[in-house]
Amino acid sequence: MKRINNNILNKRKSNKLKSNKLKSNKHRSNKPKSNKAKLNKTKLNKAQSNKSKSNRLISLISGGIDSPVATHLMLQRGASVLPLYFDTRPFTDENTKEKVITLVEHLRKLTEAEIKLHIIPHGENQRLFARNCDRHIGCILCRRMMFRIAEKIAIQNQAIGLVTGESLGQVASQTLQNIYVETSGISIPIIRPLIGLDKIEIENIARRIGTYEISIRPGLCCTIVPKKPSTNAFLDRVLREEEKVDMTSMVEKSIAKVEII
Amino acid sequence: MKDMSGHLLRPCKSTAAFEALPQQGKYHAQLDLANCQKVLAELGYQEIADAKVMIVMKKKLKLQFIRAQNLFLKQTPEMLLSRL
Repeated sequence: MKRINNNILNKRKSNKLKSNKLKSNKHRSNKPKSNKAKLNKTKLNKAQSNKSKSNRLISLISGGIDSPVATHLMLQRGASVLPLYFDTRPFTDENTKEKVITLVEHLRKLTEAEIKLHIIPHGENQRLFARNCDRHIGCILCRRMMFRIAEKIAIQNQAIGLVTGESLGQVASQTLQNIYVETSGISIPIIRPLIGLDKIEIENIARRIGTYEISIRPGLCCTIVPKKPSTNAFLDRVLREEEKVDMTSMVEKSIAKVEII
Repeated sequence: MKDMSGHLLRPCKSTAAFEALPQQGKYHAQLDLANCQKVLAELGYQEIADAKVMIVMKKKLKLQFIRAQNLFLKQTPEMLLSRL
C-alpha cells in the first residue's frame, strides 16, 4: 500500500513540476514582446489587406437606369466597387460613354469612394458575333462575352464577384433561362441586387439617388440587337455557336485595350 | 435606296437619332446592304463597320443600315460643332 501511495505522490509531484515548467515557458515567451508584436501587426495588416480585397466587386455598368442603382446599392452596403463599361461603338454613339462617365462621377460624389471606371471596347466583338453566329442569340453571346471579360478583370483586380443590374423578365436577355445560359461557366459569384424589383421601384431609387436624370439623357441604344431575340436559349446551342468564333483571343484582345478613368 | 416614301421617319426611342422604319405591308424584302454600301461609297461615305446584317457609314451624317430595312440617321459630332 505504502509503495502504491508513494508512486501516486511521485506522479503528482512530477505533474506539478511539468505544469510549473510550462507556466515559466509561457512567461518567458511573453518577454520578447517587440518581435512578437511586430509579427502580429504584419499579420493584421495582411488580414486587413485581404479583407479590403475580398470586399471588392466588379460592377457591369451601362448608361441605363438599372446598373447605376445596383452599383449604388452595393457601395451603400460597404463594398468596394470597380465599374466596368463595355463600349459598343460603332453600334451606339459617344453620348452613352459620356453618360457612363457622368454617372460614375455622380456615384463618386455620393459615396465619397474612390471609384475607377474601366472601359472595354466591345464593338468589334459584336461585329464578329453578327457576322458569324446565329442572329437570334446575338445578345446572349454578347453578354456571355461580357461576363467572361468581367471575370478576368475581377481576377486581375482581386475582386471576388460581379454586380449586375438585372431584373427578372425585364428584357429578353433577363429571363431565368437566359440568365442561366449567360452565366454558366463563370466561376465567381454574380450579385444581382435588383433581381426582384420592377422597373418603377428601380426608377424610384434612381430618382432618390439622382442617377435617373443622367440615365435618361439621349444616347443611342445598341442598334445591333436582333428584331426577335431569343428568350429561351439552350446552352448546347449557344456553345455550338461560340465555336464559330475564337472566344479566347477576343477576350484577350478586349482586355488588352482596357481604358481606366 | 431611291424610294424612301414607304418609310416612316421618326426620332428613335432614346431621341439620340432619327429612325426610318418601313411602313407595314409596304415592303417585305430585305435591304440589299452590298448595294447600299456601293452607292454610299460613291457619294463619299466612309465605311465604319460591316456586320453582315448591318452596315455603318459616315460622312457628315452617320448612317446605320439594318438588313431588316431599318435605317438610323445620326449627326456626327463634327457636324454639330460646325453648327455652333
